[in-house]
Amino acid sequence: MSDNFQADAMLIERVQRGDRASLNELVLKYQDRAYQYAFRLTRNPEEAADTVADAFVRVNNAIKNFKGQSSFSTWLYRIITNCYLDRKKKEKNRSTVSLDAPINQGDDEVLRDIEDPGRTPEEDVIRNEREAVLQRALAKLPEFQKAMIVMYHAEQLSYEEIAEALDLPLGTVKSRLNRARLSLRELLEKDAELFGTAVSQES
Amino acid sequence: MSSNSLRDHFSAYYEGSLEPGLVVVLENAFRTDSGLKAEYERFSETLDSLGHMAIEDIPIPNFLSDRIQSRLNVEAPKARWYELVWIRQLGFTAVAATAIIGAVVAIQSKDSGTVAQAGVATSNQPQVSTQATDILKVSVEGGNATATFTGSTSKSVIVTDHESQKLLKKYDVTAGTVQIGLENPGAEAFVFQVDVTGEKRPTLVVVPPVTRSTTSDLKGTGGVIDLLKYVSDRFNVHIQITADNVKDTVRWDGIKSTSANEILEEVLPKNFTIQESDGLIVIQDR
Repeated sequence: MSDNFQADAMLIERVQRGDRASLNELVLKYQDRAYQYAFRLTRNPEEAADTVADAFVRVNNAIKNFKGQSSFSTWLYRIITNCYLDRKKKEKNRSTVSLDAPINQGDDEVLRDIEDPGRTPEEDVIRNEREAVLQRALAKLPEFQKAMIVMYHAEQLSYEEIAEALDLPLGTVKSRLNRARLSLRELLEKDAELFGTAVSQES
Repeated sequence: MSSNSLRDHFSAYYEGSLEPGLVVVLENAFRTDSGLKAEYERFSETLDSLGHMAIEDIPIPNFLSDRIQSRLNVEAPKARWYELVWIRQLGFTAVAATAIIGAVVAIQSKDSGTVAQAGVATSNQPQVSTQATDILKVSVEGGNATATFTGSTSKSVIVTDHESQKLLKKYDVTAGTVQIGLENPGAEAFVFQVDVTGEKRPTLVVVPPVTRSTTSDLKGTGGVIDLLKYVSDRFNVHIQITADNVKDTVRWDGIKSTSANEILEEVLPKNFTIQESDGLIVIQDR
């Protein structure tokens, strides 16, 4: 058992007894990592921070039931993912139209191309073209597929850790992740047709 | 095997984890189906590009801690905030204590000589202990408060702004001592919350401002902490409190007392004990 796992176990035990200071310590220890994951899902600082705040509230409410069968970080990934999916579900239930949603024009669906208003032209120039293309495609993936891609490729979780975090069998994680990558490749090809860019090209 | 079935193995082939029999099948398919081969090449390019995601630099916004803490404050089970108990596991045989605390906005870490953005101060003095493993001492000298924590095992001393729950400073103490000087450059009394890992209850320290305001705009009714801020501000005293029910409502308008002790004894519920020593008023519940 790693030192970090043991340290977390002791901390969590104290939080389970109602020790607020230990909760603060746990939050401090994991908030940056949690934010980075949430940001990679949302690409929006405000939304990412809200997602992380939601997640820690859920952690606090549910920690008495945490048995330590997985690591705390894996459990936190699960909670953040659920918070993110819940937020997206609520957004879809509202009457407004998502900027990411396809515009129905009959036979073919055309994807909206609306610039992120929070980004300056200078930042756009600096931004690595390959990353921009990739993010555009990721944003169009179904949320669950995007979460899996981000967990594996950005957060560098193993298949086993993703299986724990999402409570799925290992084989299911592998097949779904393969499907997500295939979908991403298709989106990147569509993007290249629309914008004349390819994810593989060097900027 | 159909092209669709073969695509199911792209990831495993890319990662080198595909079983040998399927590798042969897939590579044979690539030789006979140039479209499938091109598809795989684009797939592998996609996976190569995904590798760059891990090195993306994502700055952490400075509002993140506040956002989390304010959400926890609003939505966490309220009882938890005041379940915290101070010095639960000390195991000391005798404590003759007067505690003191200072207050904040600039914390000076005396061990490191660094000055942080905001701070807390606690002092406790004297504590007579023969078996204590962790001790918090708060002292006030010349109007300045110093908190000294001595731990025999790894502990964290966390100082927060009690009202906003904003983190001011965290010290990790490993079998040693940390001294924290506290100042309150603000215009009114400030409440520091000092938590030590493993202790259920925080110690709250109310520190008067260095420059006192001529009038206090605090109303004559509010929670216990509001009263303590009023008293600290009006009488220029440091107050330390360790209690469960600091949210009890009290009224102090119309009270004619002329000293801090008098007004506290008159207004606070009877389950609180009040002691004063060396410029520090120490309040505890029974």
